[in-house]
Amino acid sequence: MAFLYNLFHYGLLVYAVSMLSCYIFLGTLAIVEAVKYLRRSRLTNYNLLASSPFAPSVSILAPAYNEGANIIENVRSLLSIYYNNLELIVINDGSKDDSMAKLIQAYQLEPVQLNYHQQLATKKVKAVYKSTNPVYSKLLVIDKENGGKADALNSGINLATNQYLVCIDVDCILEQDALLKLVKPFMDQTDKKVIATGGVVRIANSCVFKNGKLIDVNLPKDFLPRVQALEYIRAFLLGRMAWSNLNGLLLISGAFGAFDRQVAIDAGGYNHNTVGEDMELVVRMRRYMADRKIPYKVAFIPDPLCWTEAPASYQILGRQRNRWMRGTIETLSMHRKLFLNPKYGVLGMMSYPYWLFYELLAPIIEFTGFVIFLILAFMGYINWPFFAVLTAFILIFGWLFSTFAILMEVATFNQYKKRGELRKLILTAIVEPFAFHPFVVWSSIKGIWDLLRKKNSWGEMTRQGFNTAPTEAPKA
Amino acid sequence: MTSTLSTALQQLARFTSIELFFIAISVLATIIIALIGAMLYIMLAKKNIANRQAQLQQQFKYWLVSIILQDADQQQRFEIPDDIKPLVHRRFARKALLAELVRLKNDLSGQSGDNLIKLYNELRLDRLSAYDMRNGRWFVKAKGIQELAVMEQTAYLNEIYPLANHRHPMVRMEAQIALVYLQQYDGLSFFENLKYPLTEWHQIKLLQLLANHPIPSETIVTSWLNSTNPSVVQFTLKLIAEQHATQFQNEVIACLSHPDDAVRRQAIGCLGEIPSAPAANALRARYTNESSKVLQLTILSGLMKTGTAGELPFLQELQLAQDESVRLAALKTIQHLQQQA
Repeated sequence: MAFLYNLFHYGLLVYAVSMLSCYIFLGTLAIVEAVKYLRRSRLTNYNLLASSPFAPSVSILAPAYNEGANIIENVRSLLSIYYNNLELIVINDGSKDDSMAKLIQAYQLEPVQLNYHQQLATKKVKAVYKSTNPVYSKLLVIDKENGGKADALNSGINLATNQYLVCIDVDCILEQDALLKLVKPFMDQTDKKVIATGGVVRIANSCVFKNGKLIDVNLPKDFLPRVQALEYIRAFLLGRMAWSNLNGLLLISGAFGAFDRQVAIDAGGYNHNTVGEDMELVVRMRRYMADRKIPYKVAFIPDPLCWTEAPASYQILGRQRNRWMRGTIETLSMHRKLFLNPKYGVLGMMSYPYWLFYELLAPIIEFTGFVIFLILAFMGYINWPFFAVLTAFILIFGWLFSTFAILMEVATFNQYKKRGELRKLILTAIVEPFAFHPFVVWSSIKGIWDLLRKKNSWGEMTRQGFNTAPTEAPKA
Repeated sequence: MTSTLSTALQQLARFTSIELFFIAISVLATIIIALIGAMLYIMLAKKNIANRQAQLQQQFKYWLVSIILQDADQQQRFEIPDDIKPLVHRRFARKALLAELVRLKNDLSGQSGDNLIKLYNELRLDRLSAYDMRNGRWFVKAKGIQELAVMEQTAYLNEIYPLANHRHPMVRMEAQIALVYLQQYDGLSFFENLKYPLTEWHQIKLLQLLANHPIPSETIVTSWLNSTNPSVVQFTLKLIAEQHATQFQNEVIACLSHPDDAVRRQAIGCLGEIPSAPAANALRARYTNESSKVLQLTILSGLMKTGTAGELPFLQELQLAQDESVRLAALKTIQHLQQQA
């Protein structure tokens, strides 16, 4: 019994220390990468790309399902993106609402006969529409049977004609120069082919928007979105920056990412059999390149490029985290060949093990540890002073990591600079381990349970809608 | 196995005393306090710098506007108002003024731009830029070069030229851009010794700078097309395409056989901008010899621009191909050519 107790006790300690060491290592790499990016960025005039006939051609793919409430404004916002060599493909994934009718009316759409090569299998495309109004000449709308996000994106890929694909959630709001910044890494490639780029996604709750553009950044007023704002800062400014430095990024957010079209097609497009289709595609594209021994890179832009609404209720947040966990397990399981496989370099030896041990197994270990702790406590095996010190150590390390992430934010992009916002962010970091983290762990465990029961629904994501600045009433 | 694990656990136990955790907690707590302190310091410093810059901008504003609008006499020096005189000797203010001049010069040309350069020279701000250019850190060096180029400081050309082959990509890119900014096509003489590839981004920047200048002589362009650096060939093909320089048609056709895929792709695109019967024939001939399927498809879409009804039999033959993407690309080109006819 004593042996088992010690194994549990010290096993957890070793796991925690190794995890914390990884965080310190990643934090250090993130600083290096962020500084390098900022120095480069200061010397760059991105506007050069917007009007150049030699700028790479881009197809934006925006899948929409039951987005009728905001579809017109969202498409208008995407059409106003500052880029010359562009086509916008909106995919109506069998919406049950009036999305399609609204699009047809607002953008004067008419069905067109297009010859295209169906390189990726998808559900039936009912019709393809183009606008009769030359103002909307960049717009192409696909109306198809419902098949899920991956299927919708694959339909868009089949019809896309441009060199690069930018996949975006239709309800995201982009910064004016977002596309220019996202595309630039493809133009900087020399010895390594850039196969994908991702940008930072920020939380839009409490921010103010006007005509599809962000006009005022605010730290979310409600606790849940605010703690997610902190979580996103940590994930994007520390995690992804560090992995970008190592060229070990496994995930580009489905909300906003760019891909080399040919590589995406050759790798097989989005996978319909997972709810983590964004991560799965990146892993498969990387694997495709590594298998063919073609030097490649997945780039990452730390600028805040895309703003999205975070779940504001525990119910919706739970569904999201449940889905994320299932997506992670499915992806890692599909690509288990990578695990500690030196043939795949950083991907196999670092990224995959990190995701397996510290993203996938972390909630399982945490949950199991908690259950065993309750049993041991009930049996009187707990050394309470030691438990208190160990808990304090773990908590304080978590706070340290969050404080470091906030410091990075302040030193770099400093989005939350209004009076009191920094204080609120630090307080949120203090409360997070008690009021947010346990819920995320629980949702992940439910995700694992759902996966075991082969329950693979996407989980409905109800949005509250963005704050919009009042527009001036016309004068009489 | 169990005994080994037990031994390992015992070893571990020796290193995990409660006192050790107290020390670790104290250290981490101190670091957190230090980080919060650093956060506040950075915030205040940023705010302070922003305020000082805004204040200086405000002070410089009316003076610079008056300089921009002046019909300046080259012999006469610009007058410096009394409230600004002490500022131009202070390092922070000089840097702020330099940044403001560079920003304005980027947006202005003609007399206004010349006035800004004259002021820059009179205040000897070139020393500040040159000092940066000689700095060892790449980002300071690149900034210095950029400033010297924007302020048209040809006197520093000899110092800039060797930097066109600098090991840091940002430094060499800024140096190469500066050379073209200052000397237009003559600045491209660095092509002769170029050790590194030009990125797509860099090529676009150079093309933008050269957009309003006529393409140089046949000898020079041909030498670039024969460069051993594929990115130089690619750039030249873009230049020919942008300027619709039909006189280089034969040289471009020759590039269809270049060993580098990117060059062949660029040559196909370039022929679309200088359409002719020989170009279409060359594309057709290349199609059969082309090993890359992607480039074969590029040729078929390229024929939309260069082809005529004469290409129809060739394209109709491709309609029988097994590959669906080839059939579709051929069909699209046939439809396009028939529409044009």
